Amino acid sequence: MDPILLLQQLANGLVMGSIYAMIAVGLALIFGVLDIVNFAHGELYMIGAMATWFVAERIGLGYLQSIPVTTLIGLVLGYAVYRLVRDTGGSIERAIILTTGLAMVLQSSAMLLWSATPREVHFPAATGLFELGPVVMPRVRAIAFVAAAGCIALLYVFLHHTHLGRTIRAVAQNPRAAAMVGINAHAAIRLAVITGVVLAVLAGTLLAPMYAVHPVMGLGFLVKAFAIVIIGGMGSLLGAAVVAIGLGSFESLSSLWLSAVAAEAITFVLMIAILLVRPQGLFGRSARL
Amino acid sequence: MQDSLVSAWGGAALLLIAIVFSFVFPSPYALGIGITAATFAVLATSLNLVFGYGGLLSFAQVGFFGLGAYTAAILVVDTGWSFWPAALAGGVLAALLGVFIGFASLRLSRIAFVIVSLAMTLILHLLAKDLAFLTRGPAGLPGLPAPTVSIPGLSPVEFDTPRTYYWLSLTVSVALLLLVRWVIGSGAGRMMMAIRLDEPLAKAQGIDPLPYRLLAIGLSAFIAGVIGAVHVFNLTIVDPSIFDMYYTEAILIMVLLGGPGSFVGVLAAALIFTVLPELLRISVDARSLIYGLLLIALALFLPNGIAELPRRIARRARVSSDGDRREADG
Amino acid sequence: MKSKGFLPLAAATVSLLCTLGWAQGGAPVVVGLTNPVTGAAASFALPERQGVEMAVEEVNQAGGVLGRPIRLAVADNRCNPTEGVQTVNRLINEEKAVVIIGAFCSSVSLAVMPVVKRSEIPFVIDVSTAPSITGLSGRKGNNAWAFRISVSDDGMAKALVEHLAARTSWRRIAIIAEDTDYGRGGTRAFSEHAKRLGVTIAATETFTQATPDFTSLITKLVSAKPDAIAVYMLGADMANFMKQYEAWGGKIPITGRFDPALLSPEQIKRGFVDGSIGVLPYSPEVDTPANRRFAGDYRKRFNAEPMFQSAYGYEAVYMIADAIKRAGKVDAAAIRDALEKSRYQSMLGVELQFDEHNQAHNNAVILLLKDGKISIVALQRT
Repeated sequence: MDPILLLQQLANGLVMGSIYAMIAVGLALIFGVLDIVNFAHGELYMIGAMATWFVAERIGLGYLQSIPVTTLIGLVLGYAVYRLVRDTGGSIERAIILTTGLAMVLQSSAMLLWSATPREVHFPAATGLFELGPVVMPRVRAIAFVAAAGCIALLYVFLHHTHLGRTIRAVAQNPRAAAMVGINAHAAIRLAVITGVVLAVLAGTLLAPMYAVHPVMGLGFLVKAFAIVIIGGMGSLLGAAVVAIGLGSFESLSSLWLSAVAAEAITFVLMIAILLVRPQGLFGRSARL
Repeated sequence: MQDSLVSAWGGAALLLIAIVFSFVFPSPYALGIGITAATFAVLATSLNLVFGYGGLLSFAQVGFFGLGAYTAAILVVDTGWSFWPAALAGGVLAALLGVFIGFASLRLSRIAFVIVSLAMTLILHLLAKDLAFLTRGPAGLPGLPAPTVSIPGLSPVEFDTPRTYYWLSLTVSVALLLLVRWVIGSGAGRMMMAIRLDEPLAKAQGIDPLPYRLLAIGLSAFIAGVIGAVHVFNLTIVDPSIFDMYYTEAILIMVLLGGPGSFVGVLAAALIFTVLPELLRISVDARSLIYGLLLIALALFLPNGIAELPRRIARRARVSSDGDRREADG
Repeated sequence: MKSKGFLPLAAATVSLLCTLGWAQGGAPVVVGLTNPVTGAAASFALPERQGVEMAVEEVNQAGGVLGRPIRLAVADNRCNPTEGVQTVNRLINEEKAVVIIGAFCSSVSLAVMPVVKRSEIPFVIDVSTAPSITGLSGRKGNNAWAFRISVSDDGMAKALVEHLAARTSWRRIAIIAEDTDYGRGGTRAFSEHAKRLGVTIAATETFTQATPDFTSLITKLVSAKPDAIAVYMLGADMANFMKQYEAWGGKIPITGRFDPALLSPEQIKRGFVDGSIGVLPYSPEVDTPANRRFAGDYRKRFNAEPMFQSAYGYEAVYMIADAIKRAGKVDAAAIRDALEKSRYQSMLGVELQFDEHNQAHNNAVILLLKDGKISIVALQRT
């Protein structure tokens, strides 16, 4: 095996993994505070990308200028998701039904508003290739990698080194105890859900210049994000991030020997196998519910 | 007691409607809708069994449906089995897979079950497309032969027209629904309900929920698998689009609308929701938007189905007269 | 208030329709079209419908068939076999269609074929390209009611590989395909004809539809050092692949079912994948009088380039109208018999006839993208 090809695929995998991580970490965060699996997460990512196209290309503001607008959309959607799922009375099934309904509404609205035609988002400053020794990648991917890693690092600092972030962790670990020491659980949950949604929407913005943008682009990532969250241990942010990077690298390296379709099947089988031998996931807290 | 009486009369009324329907609307088009309605009635009931009685949300029912369909089709085409044992084998295989994923995921949590059930349907879809030596890949298996029944002494009956197939699918559906009805009414069914209504209490009494849940999953997978076989032998082709996400959304609506845990309610909802879109002929994109909004509205305001509406209104009137206390949702 | 405005309008419409009908002397002849109006495949099926509508209107303006106008009844099958069967039953029983065009997606066409056989209604397949349809059609395929005018994937691969082997120096070709009927069928046909003609397949990669990222596949394809990359994928995936291939600095030319017109004008201007050669069932640039007129009218009417779906939908209507005229009566069996004896001059310059599998063999168009221009280098019989 050509070592340069190996190195190249590893670099590709790291980029992919950082993108998976950005989507999966948001999912894990929402699960952590509310025990809710957000089935609309993939569509939120799609809305992020389509909104970027709409603002940058249709309105013509340009790519970088679209970022504040999509962030704002993320905040609004985050609040909407929070309002939708906050009163499910601990019924996980109801929360899933609600977010599934939301996913359908988001996808069909995008379809009705913008049609299924694939769109292109331009980021002129990021054309060309980025070279690091023998490893080459499009500049737009290198930028996405740095931005995704930055977002996750920021999230880490926020959760571990700010007061607000600590309240979220406290609520995630033990909502009752958190309430007892005077933490406003509602505010912490709201903040966590909004953060998770904004991460998904921003992931869409980040990836928009890399991919063709269309209303059914969300599903491909959603299921992978689920697998990552399960394998990593539900609600474990560290687990989600590590498994995401691992999955990206695995897919990329395995493609040297396996078909892409086989790699995908293996991911699912791995997920079920891990549930059988280690139900709490690789990094999970002990089983709950 | 009263519930089972309602359910028996309701079921009989629906059966009568189904029989009369075939004489009033004898066109292949109408009979085709009737066959689809019978299919959806069973498919929605299979979700109702897992979700309404077992308390587990499942995205696997369409997976079982497709697995049963593919199993039966492959057995008939490749090994020359006749339709009936092949359909049964499809149901049994689906049941085994259901029990397996239930066992694997329920040790962790109900959420894990939901996600694994979705992943299972997606894997099956992937296999249908890519395990080409068995499934013939994306083109599927066209030209499935019509099922036959041969009674000794009589000439064999071939179910190769919409009219004859209507009776076949009606008979199979009714048999499967009666099977479900019987299990629900049995001790195991009552135990399922008890666990769904108050899991901690059931556990405190030493009841292990797992076997009852596995029973619900296995039986629901079985009926979905068998009706999947019936469905594709009517179409004469099985292809990967049988795992369409749209079916999952549609049966979820039917169960929520009919009321999870209400046998006849879900049946009625399934019939209405097969016929209504056909009559309205709204575009699918708009349909998906409407279904999405409907799902949200039902989950927010009527988690126990439309049937609950009158009761809710009555209760609300009472509650508001006694001070504005908020009621808890079930 | 509202109803006051609505009623006269409805009345006017009805009377207008009646007048039109009477003017042409008789009840309309109903032609059914089943295709995906909504769902993921809808955006590719719209050109088909536009082609069909345009032809129906032209035929009616020229006096209809046997002095009666054609009425088009459209039903949405969502590219799903279940709905396909339902729509065809509806078109036959409720709309009283005497002939049906469809069903776009190959799996749906295959599901519909037994239904039209049982109902004894001719079915003209205008777009589906799966090779398996051929074997199940025509008197030899035990279904005399199913006809196909679209070129099968096998026919197109044959035309392309023969051209590449004879006219280019490409001897190593890598294939990337979606894991659908279309992708796998194309891969199989391309590989078979390549083997026959001494062209090496350097790599074959398959991916699931709506795959977001093609990076590792692109790396793998390029590292196999092929002379060209054959693509078999549709719509959004094609756009996505091309975007990423360009970002990766892709230089190796593209072939297979590749339509250079799907690239953006900026991409073509930048010289991306210069030298690519693709095969298509149709091109608006084919220089025959009939096609020039069709393409011009189509652009004027829909403000869009005609696609192959448009052209084949358009010709399906004309072949049906021709068959009805020759049959001399609006009767399904007579129309079928007349269709079997069709001799129809296609816009691509071939006299279309149905073989014993009711398959017509149209030309395929070989296109070259060179120096920012797309040109037709050959019309190759399939």
